Amino acid sequence: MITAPTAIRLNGVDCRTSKEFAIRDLAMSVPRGAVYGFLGPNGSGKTTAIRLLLGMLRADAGTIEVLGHEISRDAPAALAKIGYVPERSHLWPHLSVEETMRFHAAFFPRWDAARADALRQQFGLRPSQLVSALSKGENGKLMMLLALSTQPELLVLDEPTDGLDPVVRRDVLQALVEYVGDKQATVLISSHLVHEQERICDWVGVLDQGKLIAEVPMQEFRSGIKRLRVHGAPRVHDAAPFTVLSRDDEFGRGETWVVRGWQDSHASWLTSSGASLREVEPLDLEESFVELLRSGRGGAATIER
Amino acid sequence: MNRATRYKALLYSQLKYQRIELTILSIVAGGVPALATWRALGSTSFSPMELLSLSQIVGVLGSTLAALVGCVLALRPYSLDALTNHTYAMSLPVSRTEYGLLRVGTGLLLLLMPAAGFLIGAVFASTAADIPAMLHAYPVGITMRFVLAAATAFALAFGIQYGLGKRATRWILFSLTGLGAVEIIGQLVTGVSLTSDLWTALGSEASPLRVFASNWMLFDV
Amino acid sequence: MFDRPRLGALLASITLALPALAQSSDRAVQQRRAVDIAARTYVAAADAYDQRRDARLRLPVVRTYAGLQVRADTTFVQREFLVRLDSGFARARQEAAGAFGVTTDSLLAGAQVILTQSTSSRTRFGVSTPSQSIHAEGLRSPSMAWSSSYHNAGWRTTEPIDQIKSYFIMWFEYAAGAQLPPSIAAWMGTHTHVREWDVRWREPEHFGLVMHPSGIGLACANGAITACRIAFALVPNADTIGAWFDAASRRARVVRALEMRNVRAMVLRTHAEAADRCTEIGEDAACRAVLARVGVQSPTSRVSRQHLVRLALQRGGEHAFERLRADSTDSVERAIASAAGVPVDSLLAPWREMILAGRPPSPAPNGREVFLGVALLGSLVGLTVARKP
Repeated sequence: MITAPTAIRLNGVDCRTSKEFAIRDLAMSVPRGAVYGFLGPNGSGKTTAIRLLLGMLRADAGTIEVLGHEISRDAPAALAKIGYVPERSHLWPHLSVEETMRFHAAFFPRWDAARADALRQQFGLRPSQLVSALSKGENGKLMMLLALSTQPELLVLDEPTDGLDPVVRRDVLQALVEYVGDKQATVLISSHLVHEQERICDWVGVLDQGKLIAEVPMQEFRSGIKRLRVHGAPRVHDAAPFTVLSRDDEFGRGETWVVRGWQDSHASWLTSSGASLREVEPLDLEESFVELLRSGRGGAATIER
Repeated sequence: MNRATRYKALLYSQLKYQRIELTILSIVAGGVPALATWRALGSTSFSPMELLSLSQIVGVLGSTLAALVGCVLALRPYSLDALTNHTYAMSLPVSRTEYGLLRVGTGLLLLLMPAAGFLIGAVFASTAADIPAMLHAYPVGITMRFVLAAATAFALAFGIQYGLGKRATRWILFSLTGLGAVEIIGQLVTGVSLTSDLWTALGSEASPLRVFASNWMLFDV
Repeated sequence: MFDRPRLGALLASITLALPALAQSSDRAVQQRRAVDIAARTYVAAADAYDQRRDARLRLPVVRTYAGLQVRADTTFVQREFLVRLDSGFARARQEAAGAFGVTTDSLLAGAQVILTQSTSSRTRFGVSTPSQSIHAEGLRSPSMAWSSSYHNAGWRTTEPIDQIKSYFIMWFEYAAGAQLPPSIAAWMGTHTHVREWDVRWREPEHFGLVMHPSGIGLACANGAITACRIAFALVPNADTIGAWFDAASRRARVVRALEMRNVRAMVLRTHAEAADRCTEIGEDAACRAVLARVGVQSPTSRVSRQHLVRLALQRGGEHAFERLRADSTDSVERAIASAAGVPVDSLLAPWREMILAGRPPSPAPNGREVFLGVALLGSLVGLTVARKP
């Protein structure tokens, strides 16, 4: 067993799942106790990365450690401490709610029957109801119930609220927040719903086309990406103390830069380059996310004058 | 949380999932010997040859049914796992090896249900029929063969399906096409069946498939 | 191309086909199926087999070589060829001599005639000559030798020495059979056996014995030695129909025989009146006449009888065959007893043991089947569950 301060650590992970798609040199690190938002557009590889870290897929290269266990060697020990809610229901349709809970209890050594019963009542699930007869919302609730009742140290939630109505979404997230507050568990929550992540996450990782293009604390992510309006901007910005994600020409009225890692003191670099800074505008998470993706795909128009 | 608890949980799940087909298979398994000897039941004037012929029907049906039982018990749980792309099975905190062994264990135990049906039918047929002096009834022996044949079919289907997974179709089609091609070429070029030795080998005494052949007589001299 | 349910169906279909495939290729099953045909065709098949084998031995005659001279045990001249037999021949001779308990000169002569007449037979023995090698590299599969698919056995192999010995002994058996007195030959055919009776071939004999409609065979199998004597029809020209069936059974046999369309047609052509009298008023003489026309299957086949004689030759030791050959009485029982040096009853008990060994085993799988099944299960499951994701 490897003692690590992080709950999840991926290093140099490659995994080709089809001719068209591969995870390439993926490195990410989820601190213990963090609520880590795993952002990325559809098809970016979030689910593949999650399957990798749960040992459901085998990496072609690299190392994956989860809760101190190297997943390629010791997946069961790690899985015993993980609560997993997949994107789509993975439960067996022929079992009832109660039978599913009993089945789960038989496999998870830290099953908390009292919590399970409480959550079942809280979620309004009938014990005799068959999984096949559950609505999408009820299915989501049941999966969350199962994940939380195993008293996990790590919750891995793959689009847990996708397609749920607002009431169910609130119930599910509330249960999650209560558990995390109670147990100080680590949460990896994958979603493309950026605003939802913004509310609950304290770390964020952005994945696109199988590559992690950003991994920062949420606060830094939120405050570190700015839109600048610059007049007389220099042709080259290689020496800039911040990262220029995009440059857009304003048709003779200067340029709009989207930058990452901005601090107020960086204005002096622009001034010394002969430019004048007209405005610094903070971006919300969704805009930041879109700008990151644009820059990651090389879609930003970097104007070289 | 020990292995026995996990085994019981998986057994319950599989039993519930397959309860209908297992019930049908058990009833059919019981009915095969009983129905085959139905004509002979209570009769005092039937020919021993007739009884032997009926016994052979029991044998053919019995070995086919054993193969069906093995396939159903190996393939249906796989289809359940495959419904969710094996996500649920793989999210459980047990190794692949243990999960596979649990599936084998539950399959082999549930196989005893149709076998019990077969035994009941065979015992019923043996006691109800007026067996002539030169014939003997072997309800237990034929049931043991049924169990071994079903387990063999289970092993084959389980091995192919779980071992090859999505590639199973490709491999099976490739193998069948290859065999067909060899046979056709052999017939065209040499006029000799090149695969006949394969079938002979499959039915030979050194083959595990031998259990499907040979002696399946409920009544015999 | 295939979704999973279809794959399941495909796999299931293939696995379901296995029993049919296995059964279709299984000799024991075929044998059983053949044996349970009411007319017991296996007896006829055995006779046909013998005739076919005789024909095979005698048909490919090139010519009769008048110049055959035995120079030594293993060498003789055949026209321009000096034929030298390998050591297998000498060993076979010794073995056959031991088995028959006689000097083998006469048997040898008979065997050599067969050898001389048969081109294919000569090639069987790796016979070599100074001037010409005849298939010196070996032989075709010996197991195919008498079947119609002989020419399809497209491989050559060196004949094992035991196989060569086996062929020679078989020829000695034929040669000896040709010298049997007529009464014995009529009773058991012109073939003797000196080799062990393969237990696989005892199964149809056991079946024929216990299933004989007279019940005589079953009584014999159950240990009544007197019944065995009746079943063997040891007394020539004895009233076997009378011995095997009582009057009621004879009538029942006729009724049953007449249920078969072809038999009825045959009987009605010549014995229509007798058939009527037998079936309608139960006249025993008429029933006997019809049964004589239809024929009654013996509880014991020729092969069974030949093996009874084999037991007699074994028991009689040296000169047993000569005593059998020299018997001039019409009594088969006396001839066999004379060869064996003991009453026939002493031979019937071991013969019965031999037959009972041919009783099919319980359908419970034997140790090898269990081992193979468990090994298959273990290896397939082991390989499968050890698979990485």
